[in-house]
Amino acid sequence: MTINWTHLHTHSVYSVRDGLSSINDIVNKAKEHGFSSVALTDHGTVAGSFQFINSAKSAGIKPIIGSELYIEAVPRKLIKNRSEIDHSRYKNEYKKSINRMLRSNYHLVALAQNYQGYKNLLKITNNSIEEGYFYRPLTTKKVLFENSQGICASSACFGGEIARMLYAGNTAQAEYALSEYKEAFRGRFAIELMIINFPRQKQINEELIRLAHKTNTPTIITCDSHYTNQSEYDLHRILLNIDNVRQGIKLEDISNGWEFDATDLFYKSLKQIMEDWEKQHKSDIFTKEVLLNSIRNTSNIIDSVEEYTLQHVPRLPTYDNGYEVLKKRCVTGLYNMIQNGIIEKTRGFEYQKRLIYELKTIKQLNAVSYMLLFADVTNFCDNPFDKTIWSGHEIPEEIRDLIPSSGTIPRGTGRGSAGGSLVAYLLGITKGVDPLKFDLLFERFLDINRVPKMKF
Amino acid sequence: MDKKHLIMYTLGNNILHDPTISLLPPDILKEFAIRILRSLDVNIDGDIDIDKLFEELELS
Repeated sequence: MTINWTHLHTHSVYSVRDGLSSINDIVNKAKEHGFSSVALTDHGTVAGSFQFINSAKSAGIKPIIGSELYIEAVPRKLIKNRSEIDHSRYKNEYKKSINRMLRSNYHLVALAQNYQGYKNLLKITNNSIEEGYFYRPLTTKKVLFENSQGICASSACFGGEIARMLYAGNTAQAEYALSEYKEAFRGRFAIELMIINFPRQKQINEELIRLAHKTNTPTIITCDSHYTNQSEYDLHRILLNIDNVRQGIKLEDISNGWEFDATDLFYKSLKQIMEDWEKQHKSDIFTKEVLLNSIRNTSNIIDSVEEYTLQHVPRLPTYDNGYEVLKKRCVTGLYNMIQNGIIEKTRGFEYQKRLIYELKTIKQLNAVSYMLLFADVTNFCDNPFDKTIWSGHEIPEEIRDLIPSSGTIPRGTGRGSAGGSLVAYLLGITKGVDPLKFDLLFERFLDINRVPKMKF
Repeated sequence: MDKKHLIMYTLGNNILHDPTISLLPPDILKEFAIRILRSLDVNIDGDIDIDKLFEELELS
């Protein structure tokens, strides 16, 4: 029997260091539970979409692409100008809190109802990475609301704006925030009631139900799934504390480690959810009627999502007058290698003949731009560069430490059949592997008689 | 919601009620409140009395 209900708040490994489930785990578990659909809502990204949509379609269930977005609490302008803040003026004990204040954010789940919605989710998440990244990809309400077409949203977890305000006792302002979301999403906004054993969840759910009744807002049931099976709780804890574990500290010895307050954030069946509601959440406010209505509202959202496909065609840059550029670089490379004694001068004609043959094949197979692109990438890795500026853009302070102190990026000498290409050797794509010296076949890399699958 | 309440909404709920943040002394909170309001292009002197706002937020 197929159930027209699914988890609309689910994290996979694309929620980096937060979600444990692989996309296939989620899809398989949804299928095992008999769900007609499956949703993916990773933190601040839709990067798993392509794999997810294909996996769900292969399993014969409807994919719903979404993301749990981070909405900035502190204006982006202040974050951008944070270098003006002189942190040395503050006592050490306050620095952490100040940093925490600057990175404050709210969670919000956004689901694409159609292809337009998916494209808008891409715009929102791209903007949050390019313009709003500060510890997390933070988006603004302005960007979210301007791109809300084709998207429905829900209030997310305890980290959501409405839940946080309610918990702080600010009902009026929770109501104001809700009205903002409802207006922006034009009836496509729901309040999440989570069936999880988070200590404060019962109280929050009841507050949310009161607000939903007062404002005539639909409620839905979610579980904030971070791992697939209940038995993976400890494994998930290791993931959350991976830095400590990597340093050799045993999990049981991590006293200050990061841990979720809820211990049941797994991909539950609907039957399990009903049982957990009965045990943990049932009350005069969170009645069976509320539960069933919320399940029905979740089904309505599922029904409102159209099916669509994603085209995955890589668009690589092309080079103006590329063949002439490639030829010139190869000839220069050959000349330099002969001059430096790397290639024997007496074999110059042999190399020249091989170069002409390879260039002709590369041109015929339309691989000129591909070769030049790879040469640019490998040259970028090999040449020391400024750690503060790249391609005219400032490199964020937070990631400068990731750049090796040598100023170059380590890479291999090249892999597989690419070692048979003299062009790759002369361009510096492969290092130290002279195909003529080792009598390597170019045709294993590229051959005019077969469709190439070039890999370096 | 009028402008004053919008500002209180921004400060009071978005930042100041976080348990870790509310441990900060009032002078630092006030300094950051001013920074936030300025980044929202609010004229502190003309539009809003920051001391009175803090009294209402019970932070002074």
